[in-house]
Amino acid sequence: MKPSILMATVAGLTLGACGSADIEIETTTETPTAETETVVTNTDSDLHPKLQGVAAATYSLDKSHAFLTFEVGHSGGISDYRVNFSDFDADLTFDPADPEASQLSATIQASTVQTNYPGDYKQGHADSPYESWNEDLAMNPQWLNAGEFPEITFTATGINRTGDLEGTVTGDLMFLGETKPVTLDVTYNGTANAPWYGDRDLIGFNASTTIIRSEWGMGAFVPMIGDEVTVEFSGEFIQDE
Amino acid sequence: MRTLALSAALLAFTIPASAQVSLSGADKDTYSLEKNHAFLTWSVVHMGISNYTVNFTDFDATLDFDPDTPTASTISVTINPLAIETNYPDPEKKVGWEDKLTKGSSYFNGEEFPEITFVSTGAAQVDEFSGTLTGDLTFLGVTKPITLDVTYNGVTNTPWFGQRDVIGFNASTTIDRTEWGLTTNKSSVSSNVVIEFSGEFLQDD
Repeated sequence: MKPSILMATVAGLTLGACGSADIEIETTTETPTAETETVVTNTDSDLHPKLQGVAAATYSLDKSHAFLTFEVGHSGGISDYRVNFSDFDADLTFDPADPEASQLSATIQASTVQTNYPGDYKQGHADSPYESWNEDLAMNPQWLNAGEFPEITFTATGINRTGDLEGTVTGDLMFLGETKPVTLDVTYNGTANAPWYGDRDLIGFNASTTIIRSEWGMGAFVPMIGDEVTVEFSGEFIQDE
Repeated sequence: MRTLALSAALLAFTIPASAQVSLSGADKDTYSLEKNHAFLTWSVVHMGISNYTVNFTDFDATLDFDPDTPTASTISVTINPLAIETNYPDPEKKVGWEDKLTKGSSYFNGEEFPEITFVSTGAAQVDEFSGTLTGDLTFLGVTKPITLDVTYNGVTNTPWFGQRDVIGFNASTTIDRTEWGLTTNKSSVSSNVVIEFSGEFLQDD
């Protein structure tokens, strides 16, 4: 048992630390009820308020609330060319009392890139074997070469907590047959419970990193198309049943 | 053959690797959005724990750009609210979800209000290549001023557009959707909407 004065101080400090940094958002629809989570055994009230009541459990990506994009500078950097992956999945083992012990693996279907190309691709690329710019980007050996390398994978190897809700996740990124370490900057955004998921917790994260694509062997059109690729994720994970 | 010719053209196509941004070389003229290199997204916070980001896929803009006095530039933008991309994984449910977002009377109501428009009314320079752009945003039949943070990213010329200049910008702003009457799901979806643009404009013929 902690003296209640200490708990009050901790709570006050924590709130003070996060209050001004929080963006103006609606908070969760309901407060997660820790007492229904039999797996939470730690001193839950010592945790940051956004980590309280979160089940230490395995989670899977909630694919309808998850976004993964990459951006490269185009034409020497006069615009950011933005591409969405539309099919990817991830498994997360998360312990709110020990986030550094979390485990994460993600798989991206390389062929599912989605651009915004409203023009007539075939008119401008009469000799192309591809039917669309999305297909060109996905299948062309100079781009994602998804016929040969259908999956891009990331497997976390180490996590460092840098703040109450922030950290870095280092892992192996396998892309175009090359495996190299990358480090993501990750923010834990909080937890929520949705009526349609019952007691299963939802937790949300943002993550981002910048990689040098030529290090994985994709050097086409550098520097007209930037070598630096900014990768961004925001999404939710649902506690496994 | 075409690829070889294109590659040769690209080699001759000098682009500063470290993007030395300059206004010189950009003509004072009318430019139109280069739609194949333009991205417009909006993002809301979902249940306080993730950013829900949606792409607009059909929008256009006309820019009168004055490199000598950038703040004298004017722009008008038109967005088709019926054309969005949500990245909803189930193909059948995706149609239903996007229909609800675009056509639903409590969402974009795009059949009754088929255009979202932005017309600039003024600009202020903040830095050499950045500034603010104020204008009227019409959405759901409501017109209110908003201010965008804008960065000019530079000018280039490409083999396929010849002498016509291509200029690039980033722009972003945050609006409160309830001010335009979009109050749906306030308990689980943020009122604040982050809007981001990055894209290129092509000098008119």
